Amino acid sequence: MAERLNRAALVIGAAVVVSSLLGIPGSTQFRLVRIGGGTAAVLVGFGLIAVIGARLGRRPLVATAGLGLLAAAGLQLAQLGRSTNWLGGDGSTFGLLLGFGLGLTVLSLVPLPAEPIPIGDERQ
Amino acid sequence: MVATGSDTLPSQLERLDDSRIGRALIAVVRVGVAFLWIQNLGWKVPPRFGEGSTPPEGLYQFTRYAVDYPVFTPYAWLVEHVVLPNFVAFAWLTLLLEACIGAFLLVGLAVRFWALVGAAQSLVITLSVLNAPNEWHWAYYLMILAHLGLFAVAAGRAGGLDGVLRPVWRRSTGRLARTLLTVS
Repeated sequence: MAERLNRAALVIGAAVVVSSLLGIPGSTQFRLVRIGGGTAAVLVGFGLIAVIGARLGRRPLVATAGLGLLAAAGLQLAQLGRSTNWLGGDGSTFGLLLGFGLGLTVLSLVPLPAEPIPIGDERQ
Repeated sequence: MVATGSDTLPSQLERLDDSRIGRALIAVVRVGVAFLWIQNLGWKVPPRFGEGSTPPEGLYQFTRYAVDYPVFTPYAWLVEHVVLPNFVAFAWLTLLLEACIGAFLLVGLAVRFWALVGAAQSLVITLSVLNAPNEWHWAYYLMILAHLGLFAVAAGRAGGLDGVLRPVWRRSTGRLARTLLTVS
């Protein structure tokens, strides 16, 4: 089960790193999220921490990444619409950071069962 | 609807497609819908959310449409007499609610619950803007239908955290785990 959680954290961590590219300049339709320089640094930094934590099976590292992203989301929320905007983002940045932070935090905090659980995707 | 095997279905019903490509596409739709909400947080700007501008703009303008171009009279009355007088509080609530819909759908956590919340919020938006100029009705109908689809297939189980964590929740006797099992 731990392996499965680590694999999920690895995927989300990689997605966090890749999402730093979402702020590509261009038309509004394709700029899904506003990614300023500060946001890109946060995404790459905490994304890499999550990937390393997942690869090494170190859940505290995954938790650090998740909580760090949640803290960044809180910072972005607090600075929405203000002249001070350290992450250079907007509401969309807040939503993205919240989602990734939530996912990694939940994965790192879920208690591991004592008995092995059969592996297999959930069916609809 | 949870169908874990053909023995749980009446014999005349075909099982839904459970192929790899089907599951991947469900995940793509879920993430796409998540970005619909996330991207549209960008133009909801505190502290006034467009209130006080001349002409009205942003979230305030779209909220006013419910009164200026009413779709459903009781809802228009509610917006005029309850929402607009307390607009900033409702705007923050909207921002946080839509951020949560986007965030939970993005990682696939408690998706059935958040899909229903998304459908409800889409209905609220529909009641606000459906009769406004230059709006395409089907955009709002499709938003509602997309969320109902995510609910129907329990989309968090395909490439989402619900699929990873449901086996853990199923083994747990805690109330939170039981609740998450129900809403995933």
